[in-house]
Amino acid sequence: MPRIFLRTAVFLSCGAILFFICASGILLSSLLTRPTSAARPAAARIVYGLTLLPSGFDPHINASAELGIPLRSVYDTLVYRDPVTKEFVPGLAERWEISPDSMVYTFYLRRDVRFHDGEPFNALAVAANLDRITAPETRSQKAVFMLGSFERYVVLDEYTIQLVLKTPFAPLLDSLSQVYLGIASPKALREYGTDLYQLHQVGTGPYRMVEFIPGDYILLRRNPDYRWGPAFYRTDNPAPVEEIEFRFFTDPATRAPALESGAADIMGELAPLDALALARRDDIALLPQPIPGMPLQFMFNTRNAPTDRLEVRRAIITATDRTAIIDSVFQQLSPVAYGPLTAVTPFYEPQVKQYYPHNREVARQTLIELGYRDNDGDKVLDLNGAPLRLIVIVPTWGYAPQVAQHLQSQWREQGIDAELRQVPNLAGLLAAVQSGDYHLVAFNDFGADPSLLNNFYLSDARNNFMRVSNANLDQWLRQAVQTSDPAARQNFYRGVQGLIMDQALILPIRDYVNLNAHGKRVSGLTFDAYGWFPLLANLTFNGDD
Amino acid sequence: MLRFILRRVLSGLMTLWLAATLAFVALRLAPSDAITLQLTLSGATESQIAARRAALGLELLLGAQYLNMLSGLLRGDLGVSLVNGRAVAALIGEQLTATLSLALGALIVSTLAGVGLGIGAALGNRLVRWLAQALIALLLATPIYWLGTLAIYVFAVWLGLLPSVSRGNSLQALILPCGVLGIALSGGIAQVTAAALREAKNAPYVQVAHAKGLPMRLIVWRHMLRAQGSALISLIGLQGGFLIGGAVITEALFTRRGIGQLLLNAVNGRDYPVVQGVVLLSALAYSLLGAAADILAAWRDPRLRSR
Amino acid sequence: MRRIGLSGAFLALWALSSLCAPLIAPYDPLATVGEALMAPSAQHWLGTDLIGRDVLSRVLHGGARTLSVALIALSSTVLIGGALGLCAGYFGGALDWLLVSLSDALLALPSLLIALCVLTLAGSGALQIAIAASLSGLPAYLRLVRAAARQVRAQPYIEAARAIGASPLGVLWRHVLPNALPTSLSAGVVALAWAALNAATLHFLGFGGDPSAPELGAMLAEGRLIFRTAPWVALSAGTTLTLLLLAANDVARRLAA
Repeated sequence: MPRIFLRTAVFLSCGAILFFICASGILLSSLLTRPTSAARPAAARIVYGLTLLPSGFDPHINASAELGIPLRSVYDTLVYRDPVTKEFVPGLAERWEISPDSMVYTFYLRRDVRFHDGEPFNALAVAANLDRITAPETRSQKAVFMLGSFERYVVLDEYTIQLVLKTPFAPLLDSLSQVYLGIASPKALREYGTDLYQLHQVGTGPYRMVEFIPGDYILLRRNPDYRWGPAFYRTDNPAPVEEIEFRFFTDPATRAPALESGAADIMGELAPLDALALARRDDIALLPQPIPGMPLQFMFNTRNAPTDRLEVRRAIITATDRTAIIDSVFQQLSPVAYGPLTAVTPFYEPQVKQYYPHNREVARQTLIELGYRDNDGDKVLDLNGAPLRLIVIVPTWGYAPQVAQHLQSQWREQGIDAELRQVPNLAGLLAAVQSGDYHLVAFNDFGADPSLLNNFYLSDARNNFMRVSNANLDQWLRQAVQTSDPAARQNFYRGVQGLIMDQALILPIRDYVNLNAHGKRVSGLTFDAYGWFPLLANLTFNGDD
Repeated sequence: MLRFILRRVLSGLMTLWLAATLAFVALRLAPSDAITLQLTLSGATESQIAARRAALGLELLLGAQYLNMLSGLLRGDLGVSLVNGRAVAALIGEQLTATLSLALGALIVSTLAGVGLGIGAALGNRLVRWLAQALIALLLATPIYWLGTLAIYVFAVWLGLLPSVSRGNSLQALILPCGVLGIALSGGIAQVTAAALREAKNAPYVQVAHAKGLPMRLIVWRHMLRAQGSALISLIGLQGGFLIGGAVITEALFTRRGIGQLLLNAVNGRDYPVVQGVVLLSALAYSLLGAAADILAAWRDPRLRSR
Repeated sequence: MRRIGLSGAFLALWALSSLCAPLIAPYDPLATVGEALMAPSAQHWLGTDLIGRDVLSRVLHGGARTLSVALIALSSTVLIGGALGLCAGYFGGALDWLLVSLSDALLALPSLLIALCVLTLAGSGALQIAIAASLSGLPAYLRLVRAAARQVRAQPYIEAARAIGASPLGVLWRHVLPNALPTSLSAGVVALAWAALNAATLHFLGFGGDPSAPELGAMLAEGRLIFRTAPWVALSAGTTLTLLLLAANDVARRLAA
């Protein structure tokens, strides 16, 4: 008998010891980390870490923001947005005119531009691109829809082209300033066809695509002839980077180690805890970049009891301590969100900050006044026998699971029971929403024009997860898209944001901030007006020492 | 023997057909589809989405879609991806070398480590047996993403010996991912090997050989492994199928491209042609390996040829 | 009882404490009871996690969940796969051909795909993961048991038993099963381990259902991401998972011997 005991005991402890040895090894390693030269990129070439693996890399066809990170510098667009002022500045078009009825846009193009393959840039090139984007065979997933009510183009002369719309569409300039409507060489488009073009992309930008192995890497090389960039592209860059290699780091845990070991020079989408740890090193610089668009938020289902009652929704928002969530999940690296748009989005209305400050007492009072009591002693409030139980649909992205768990724990203390249902992908989320069996769903979206709200808040919108149907909201959102006058649009969007928060349609959590970091080999990393896309032309190469 | 081979090949083809059909049915039952998912955030209207789906043949009756798929397969046409329009064959081809090198390397590691550990666990002296059993149990109890993270920290970040980002298919790039995947899988092989050997140890022919004066090493090599070989070969063959099907985690951990990532994204995005293509590839690989394993086992042990 | 030894005692103790987890866990596993990411201390023996929940309480509750998922998966795999494999291996003929074809088709599909399809159709959650994990492992187990059964069937004593006049089922039960058992059981142990690991992998890929429910695989996946700052989360979950599976393997091995 003792022998058996001894044997199993030794056996079990062997296992535990082995495990602990391995684990202590890692603990030690985290204290003693030193950068290794095992994976240094070649001199004059830097490695930029991408974090998502999109299914395609053709800007005219695919919708992912990730593809823009390298490709923003491969293409120029007709206009650009200044990163600081967010105003529209000349790009491939030196100037433009908008007709009084806002339905005809005339662009006067630059004459000194050449594609990477030597072809000249002119109005026919723009026309060829528009043809490709609007062709049904192309099956564009984003670019064609960004053109809105675009009907046809008119080529007036070699360097002048007109875009004619069916109805006024204010976001057109915004669309034309994005990589999805970047201008590609018509010769390359013809030569490679719809499916192969993405492997051999040719634009006019400061970098050219040298090689693209899907899922593996993209290699860009500087275009030495580039002279036609927008005003905010530096012309005095002393040491521009010659080659940039983009690699895919889809697993978050691989990103910080890659930066530390020098396997990557620039990395985005770092986890907040990792970002803080990296920032403490003096050979790595942290660059948080706020992204315009919709913040991470939980949308209420206004057709499902109990969230169909306005006061209940207000009580829930008031019961939520969003600052605590920001501190814990995001380590204070993101600002709290107060409305349907993030603070850096054009036409953001700062007044939304006054809505629903955190106050447990007020929340408690509101629920009591509505008749909620804990009648059965299970620590969950109930009304007419039904417990206050909320079903929350949680996607896997954007730290939604962690935020949801915080919400659950905060609400639990206040008698609100939350059932979290995680969905593994967008298809799962849409299916869960379609069933109607939910009270809150987490979502966010990116973009610099508030017209993106239409996809969620119009009563007939595809993604009206809140099942809201408000005539004022519909009217203001539609009108804001039809007028180009900034003052008018500001008015409409002020009304929209106020109404959304007044009706407590959403529980905003945090403004999206992309946590970027880079090593010593580069400096001067800045991003464009959309937040995601680095201005590679302004990067300076410091070299190795 | 020839009849056996013929029968085996036929059942292999049947496997292919069944697998393709199962995958077809399962995918179509899943909610949503590739086009809807692509366009839902773009501002497209319902009719625009329906028009695109119709253009791609997604509005046809299920039976018609099934026949289309089958006829395409028979012609060798794997179709185009619903998400980016590229030929499925090209998409898979791009990822194939990366996955194959990972799979082969991992298979070698798992077989060597597995059989070695199994022999140690069954036939070694007391100390060796304890250590081997502990190691096997530890391996069987550790998720691969844990093992992989440990390995990256120890070998790449701390010791700096190997790259954490695996570029290409050089030996240096493959050591860590193949090692991790192979060792993670070796626990299973070791366990089965050990059990089979332990059982065989008590068999009469072993006792006889030992009594005759043959050293244990030879007995193991010449008799026991061969006797238990067929079960082992089957297990190894199964591992191969699993490996080629997708070592998704390993690919993600080491930022490698591969079929695993392709499959995961295709299932999430409801990209039917790509999933069918991967299914076909995996089924083909499995059928070949399985048939080879069975034929090999039957060749060496004629008793298995009868049915 | 003697044969099961220390491992058995460990497992029994663990099962007991898991059942009593609501009583003996010091805190509510879903509630924030302290600051986030506090190191182990007198109040929190295993520290706190990202949400400020007590890790010890979560591990106690989580062990129960992990074990039950793995056991459900294992039982379906072993009972169904084992029974079918025995029949296929011993009886041969049309039954064998049918079962082998079906299991081959399932094996030919990437196991990830099977799991994904099950989870896509049945939704996310612990039970669904158990089903998915079991389905992924079932055909392999069936083939293994079938191979063992076929080898046994070829042995002379089987022919002898048949010659004496024993019924096929009787032979199956009294001779084939016990002789195929060692390989089958050890394969069953492997199946248990694979079931638990597959479940952990599926959690990792986002199919876990309820992200706040304490589950060792999920805790390990979360803890992995914060390992450098707060290693105790992953270590607690990982060590518990390892010890549980070690003990289970040991018990099964002893039972087989």
